[in-house]
Amino acid sequence: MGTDQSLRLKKEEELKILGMHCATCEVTVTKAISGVKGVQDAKVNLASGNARVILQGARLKEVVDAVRRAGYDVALQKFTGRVRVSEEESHRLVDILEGIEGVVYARVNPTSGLVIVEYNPVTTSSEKIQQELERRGYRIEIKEEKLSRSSDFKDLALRLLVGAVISPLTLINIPLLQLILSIPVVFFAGMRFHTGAYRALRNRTTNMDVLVSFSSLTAWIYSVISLLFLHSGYFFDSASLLVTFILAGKTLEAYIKERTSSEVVSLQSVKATKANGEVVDSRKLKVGDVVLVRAGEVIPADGVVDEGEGYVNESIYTGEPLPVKKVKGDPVIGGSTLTSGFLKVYLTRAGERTYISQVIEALREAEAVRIPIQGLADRISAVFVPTIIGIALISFALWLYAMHETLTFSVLIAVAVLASACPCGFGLATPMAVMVGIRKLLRKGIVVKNGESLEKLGKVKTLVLDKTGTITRGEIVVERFQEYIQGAVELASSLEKLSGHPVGKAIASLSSSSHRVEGFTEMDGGVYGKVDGQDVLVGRPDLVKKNCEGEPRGDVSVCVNWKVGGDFWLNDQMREGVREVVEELRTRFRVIIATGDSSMYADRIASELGVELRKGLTPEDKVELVRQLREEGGVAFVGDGINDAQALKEADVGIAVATGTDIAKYAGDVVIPSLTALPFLLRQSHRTVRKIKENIAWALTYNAVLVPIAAGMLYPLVLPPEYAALGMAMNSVSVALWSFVQ
Amino acid sequence: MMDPVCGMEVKETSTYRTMYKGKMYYFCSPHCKTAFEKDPESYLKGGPRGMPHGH
Repeated sequence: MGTDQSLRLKKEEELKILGMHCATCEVTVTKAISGVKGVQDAKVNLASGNARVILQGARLKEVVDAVRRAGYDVALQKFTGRVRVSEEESHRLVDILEGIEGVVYARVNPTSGLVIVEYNPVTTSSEKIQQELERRGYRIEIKEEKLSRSSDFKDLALRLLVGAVISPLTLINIPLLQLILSIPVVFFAGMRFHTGAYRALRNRTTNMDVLVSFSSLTAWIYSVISLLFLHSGYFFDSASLLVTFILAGKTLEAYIKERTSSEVVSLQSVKATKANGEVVDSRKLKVGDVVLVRAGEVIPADGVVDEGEGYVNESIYTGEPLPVKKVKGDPVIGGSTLTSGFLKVYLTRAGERTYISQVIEALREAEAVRIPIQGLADRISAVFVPTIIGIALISFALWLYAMHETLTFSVLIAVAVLASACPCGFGLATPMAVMVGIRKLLRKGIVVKNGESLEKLGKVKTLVLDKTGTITRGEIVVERFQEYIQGAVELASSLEKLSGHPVGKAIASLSSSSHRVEGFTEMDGGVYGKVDGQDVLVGRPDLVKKNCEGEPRGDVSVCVNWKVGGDFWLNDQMREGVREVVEELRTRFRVIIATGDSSMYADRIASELGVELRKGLTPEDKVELVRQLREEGGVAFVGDGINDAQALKEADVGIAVATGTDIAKYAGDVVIPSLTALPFLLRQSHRTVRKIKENIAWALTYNAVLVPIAAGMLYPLVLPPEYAALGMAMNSVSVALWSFVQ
Repeated sequence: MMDPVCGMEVKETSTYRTMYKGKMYYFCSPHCKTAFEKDPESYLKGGPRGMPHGH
């Protein structure tokens, strides 16, 4: 059956996980997903809240169920539609629906004709599902669409509001009033910590929620017991403030995360005005639509200017902050902004084929990265919470029995220890820094496809640069030529008209007359054919020497009937800014130019730039060169993402220089708009990696300082639990904020 | 067509090819081609010698 077959195919899905707020959650969710039969791989990212899952046989439904069983939730979108379907068919329709990529649950009621579909908004949309169904012969009318779950930030903000309004009132020193007021704070505002703790303990792990829940509940329960029996001391206020402070930190953190991840994604959907005046969501645009764009508006999809003119800021694509003039016939990129003028744009790419959708796709992939150093942070956070609980118990015992302090004081110390420690910083260290770093690069038109490359760039010793198209414009021209046999240039030009090689094209353009060519053969370094019955060979000096009489002197020569009949000297202008960039790079790296070109022109470029040259290389030779250089240290290959694909893959970091807007077709880990962006990429990747290390060091130091103080090390100076909690909340906030300073 | 280096049968569609003294030669692999280009005369006079080692 068709559906069974499709189930066995490997599929990748990305899910938005809700309720994860610490490193251990990440581990729990990963475990839950990996435990599903038919899941090949699962990668969960705490900062973005995303999980990438590779399914091989498993249905998305099973993954979502597993996540929910582990106590978390998945953001799903739902639509309700109407379909005309018979009773017998309804089961099959459910089957079909659940087999469509991105669909999680489907319910069909044949009586009412109602279809309810819950799907993963990250990978699909209601339109896509509709289209897919239509392809299979079902027409579905969509009634309503709503997000099944609201954002994490909004939920936190509501709870924080309750905490922030009531907590200060608990400072009024009337125990009964304090008890009453603390209930909504500890049990409503703080509920997510208690459920989080319950969830973690049920899954036999621990997390930050366990610490918050234990500390607030200990303080609250002790106070209740004290109020009823001991009359020794109450800290309902501490319990309330503790919850409120941590909520404040979490809310701020959620806000930062949401802002960071929505920055790019918001470009996906803008309002677009069609030529007929109809205003639609840009996601509904199709190839062939004509849209009107006014000054200040975002161009909704990729296309060409059909009418009008204006200046467009294309910095998201080129990194160039100055607007570029666009007139009829010029290509424009969705997501760029029309700063002045008016354009009528004929769309050539819409939906997920647009440049910006591809960028977002690439970023999602890059952000799911795990950098080796994060392994250390993960190991710390796994033992962190049990250790802290241990320290709290030991401190309690020491103060009570060894130091003969009161029970109230000892309980307060234990609560402060629990509230002061925060494992969250460890979990946020890498993803937050990577997310910010990748977005900074994007603003310069650099698209990171593989997040690990940021760390690998730091280990690069050798830069191998491709020449044609990377250093030079890739527009080869014949600078001058000499003819020794009359008509040789015309014969060469006729022969080269059949060649696709850039050098061939340059020679072909020398003459417009065309002669009859037979037996055209291309080989490394040249072309051969019979032109008007004469043997004509056009090629590099080495090839010409082996076959013809006479001495070739040009970059390329032509032989007529096996005699050198003419020489061509070529030129390919260097791109702007390359000289300065190479000069800068040369001070820190071994720079090698690798090129297939073997003309003297390559030597001229290399000596002008003062770098090593390897010329006349085939694509295989370039791979071999990279392989050899890797034995001496990290190698980054910078080249054309299409012709140098193999070398890009072989290198530690493959950097493709964009020649178009189709990111998906480039090989390599990073796509840069031009060679001049390379120094920025190198600097930024260095800053991001340094930031990760700083974040981890900071999280460690923070805990190492705060926990002993909370345990009473500085007695008689003690840290009240609510201040300890404030300190804890600030740890993850500071890691999130610190990540921005790159 | 025969690869003059290793003696293998090759087709004229092979992308590994070169011209020497006005005649096209086809190879089974880039290694054979490189070996031939280094010293074509020895292969043409002495005949194929099997796959070249090292690259």
